[in-house]
Amino acid sequence: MDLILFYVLSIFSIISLILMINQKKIIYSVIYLAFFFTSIASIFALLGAIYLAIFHFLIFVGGIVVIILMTIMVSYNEKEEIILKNKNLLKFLSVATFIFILTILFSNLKIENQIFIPTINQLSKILFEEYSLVTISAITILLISLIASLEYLKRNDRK
Amino acid sequence: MIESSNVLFLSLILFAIASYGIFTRKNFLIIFFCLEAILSSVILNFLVFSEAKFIIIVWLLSIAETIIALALFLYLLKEEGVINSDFFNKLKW
Repeated sequence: MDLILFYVLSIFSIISLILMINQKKIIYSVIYLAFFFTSIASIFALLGAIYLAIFHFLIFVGGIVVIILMTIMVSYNEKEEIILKNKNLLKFLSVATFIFILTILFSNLKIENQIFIPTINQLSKILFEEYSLVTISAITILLISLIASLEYLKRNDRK
Repeated sequence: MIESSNVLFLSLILFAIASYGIFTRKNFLIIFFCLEAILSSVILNFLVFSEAKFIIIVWLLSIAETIIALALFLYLLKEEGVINSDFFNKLKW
């Protein structure tokens, strides 16, 4: 059961990645990127990294993809506009059936090997005691990237 | 039971496809998406060997890369007016 789900998710991720590269319009490729991130996050959950999967799903699909979509919508004008056609119903139906099949598969899922899943308290203890150097360096990386992006936007604003 | 070789093979395929996308496409945003895909395949690779430190570093690095790439996208769009990677030649001499 695990193996079948893994194969389905991996094929879905590969197909969505290929479609993402081959799109001409950028908004479609963002949507395929969201599909890719969902499939990768579910593979993480399947391999036992529950917290990684949850945060990957929350930050990448819920945050980053939406921010990229907003940025493209606000700033970037493509010459070809998106035209609504009747094919959208077919696409929606295919996605909906995929989600339905996934939910059925997940509902019958039984994890054979019991994985150690820490609570939030244990996780924070691990992060700040065992991996304290890693956590501090990660925080500095995030801070530096924030400062760099602010610097880009400020320089843009001055002219 | 999922074998580790399957996951390693999947991460290899994802890495190959994403690097093909980096080499062939010229749109700045699609290159950035392919970089994200490469980093997630790297996380998948580290997950097999259960290297928690590297997973944390690479995962947060991909988020930082997203922040910088979006700011760079807005900057290039206003400064150059184009996001084709053939036209980026400010650092050439």
